Amino acid sequence: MTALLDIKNLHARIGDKEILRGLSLTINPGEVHAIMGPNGSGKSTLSYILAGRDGYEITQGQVLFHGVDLLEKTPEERACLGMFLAFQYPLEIAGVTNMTFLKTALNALRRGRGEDEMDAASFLRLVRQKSSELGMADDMLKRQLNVGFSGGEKKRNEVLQMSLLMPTLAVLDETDSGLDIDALRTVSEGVNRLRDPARSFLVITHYQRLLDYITPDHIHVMARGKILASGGPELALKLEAEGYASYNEPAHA
Amino acid sequence: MQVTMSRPMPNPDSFAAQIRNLDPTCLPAVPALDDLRQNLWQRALDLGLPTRRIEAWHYTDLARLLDRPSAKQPSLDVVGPLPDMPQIKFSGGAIEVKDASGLNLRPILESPTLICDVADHDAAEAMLAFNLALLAGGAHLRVAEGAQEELCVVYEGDGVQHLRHAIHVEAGATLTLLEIYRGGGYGNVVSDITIDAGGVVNHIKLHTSGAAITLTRATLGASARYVAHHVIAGEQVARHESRINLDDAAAHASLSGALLARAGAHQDVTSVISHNRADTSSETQIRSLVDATARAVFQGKVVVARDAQRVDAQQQSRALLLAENAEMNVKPELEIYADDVACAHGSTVGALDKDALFFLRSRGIPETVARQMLVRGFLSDVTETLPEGQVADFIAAHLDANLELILNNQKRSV
Repeated sequence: MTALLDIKNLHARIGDKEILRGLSLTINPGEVHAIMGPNGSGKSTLSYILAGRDGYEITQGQVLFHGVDLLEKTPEERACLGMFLAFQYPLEIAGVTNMTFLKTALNALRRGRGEDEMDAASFLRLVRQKSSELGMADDMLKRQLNVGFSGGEKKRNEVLQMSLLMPTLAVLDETDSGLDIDALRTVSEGVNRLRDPARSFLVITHYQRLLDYITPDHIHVMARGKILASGGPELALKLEAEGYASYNEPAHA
Repeated sequence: MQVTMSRPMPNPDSFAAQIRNLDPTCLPAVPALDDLRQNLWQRALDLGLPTRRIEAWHYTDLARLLDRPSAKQPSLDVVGPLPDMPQIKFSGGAIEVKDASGLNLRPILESPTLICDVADHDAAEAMLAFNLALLAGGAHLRVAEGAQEELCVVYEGDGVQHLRHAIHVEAGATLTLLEIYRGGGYGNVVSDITIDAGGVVNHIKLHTSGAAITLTRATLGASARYVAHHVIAGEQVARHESRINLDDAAAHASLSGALLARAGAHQDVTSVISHNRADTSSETQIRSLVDATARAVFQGKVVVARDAQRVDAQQQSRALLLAENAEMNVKPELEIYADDVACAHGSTVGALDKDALFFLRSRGIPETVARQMLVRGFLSDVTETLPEGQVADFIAAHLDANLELILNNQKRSV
């Protein structure tokens, strides 16, 4: 089986600060992986590097996505290849309605993948169906993108984008942060509906809580810029009981 | 020892030189005005074009801005046909009136008293003195009680023109006034607008090219509304000033400005809104998009008179600088003499949000489209407020064409 995502010995820095120090990770189609780790371990950096944000210098290593060198691609090319990052802090964009944004994104992706654009009526039907599954009020589609949305609404909107854009790899960066228990359940159900033998997930989280709802196949513990331990779901419970102390940097590094 | 100070001679191809070479005796004779014009001409020459030493012109040094070679074909004119409505066209010396038979409209030079009445007052300011001394014409318009009228005024050609309008909108009447400044010429245009109780004026100024220095003075009665939209998009020299007097209860002024300053442009929107009575309100929204080597200016002053209680005055200016050498100057001023008022002003200047750009791109939206979305979103507060119709469509087409030029320029420089 060809891996969907293959990260080999990735080193990355911002300015003089080395954030990733030899990270390797392989995700096969249909798998759900979770990365857990203390604050500052490089989890969010990893998600941004996968999605193609500026400002990181890759000093060593390689990332293959569908067998393609991902780091050579622009963010929009990565999206067309099937990469999706659910942001920890989704951006508020004034003057652009959610509906316009969703339609522009979907049609840009379809064009990028060599498909026809979706007509207005079909799009409307699709977006209404997906948003009602996520318990979103109709007016959230008419409002300006994420402007004045609550934390929970923003995260639902991220899952809505995911369910419209149908990525092959969805990276969820602390999707549970800022969610109350009901929102967490709705968002997780939205993610679970998308589970598919051809779609994989990389769930980045600080707490075990989210993993009660989105059950991973593999759990990795990340600290100091690399993966220090990997295992099955039982690893999350162990971490919850013992904390990250044993993975933290020694006092005199 | 005697030292003689002399001003350097202006560049012979410049508007400054063209203005100096004018002489009121070349204008159509109006016996009632001839002496006045000569006096004001001397006065104007003594004062000279405003320089940065005059506070109100600190960011718009007109003497310097107009001392550049003026012969330049605009790279972008108005887009599409002009809206279908009564029209007056001023091009150089020629005045052309079309479809205006239904309007109560006369040449202003036929009413010299309108000019004599303000002459003493206007002699105090250089640009007003130039305007009166070299006055070549203008419209004297009355909109009768309860009537609804539209008028499009076009300024074009490559010459220098000084024009003045006097407009009276009677009780309950509505006027939509669309002014279009195009071509490569220079215009100094003064408009005095009186709006009686319950009257409404929608005043749209579209400035596409050339140099235009305009002053609109509006006086509002009870429950009257003055709604101004400035759309300045291109590479011109622009100074559009409004002085609005809210003289009775529930009078409301709204001023919005979309400044799209392309390379080389100098665009200035200046306003003084005076709340002279209680229960008046105003709102000012300025959005500036400034490209490399261009400069945009917003000076907004709100004055609340003593005893003008319960005034609500809001003012906001936001600017997006698209290059390192783009410049925005903002000067908000509040002068409040009453104690029970809600007045606020805010101003931001920034660059395109890189994180927002990344967010959009991460959803598959190409960078150029993402930039366009962000810029349009930024402008939407001032571009989507015109009531739907042919004027809004006309303005939107012009904004789109300019946005495309600006964003293409961005693409080249990235």
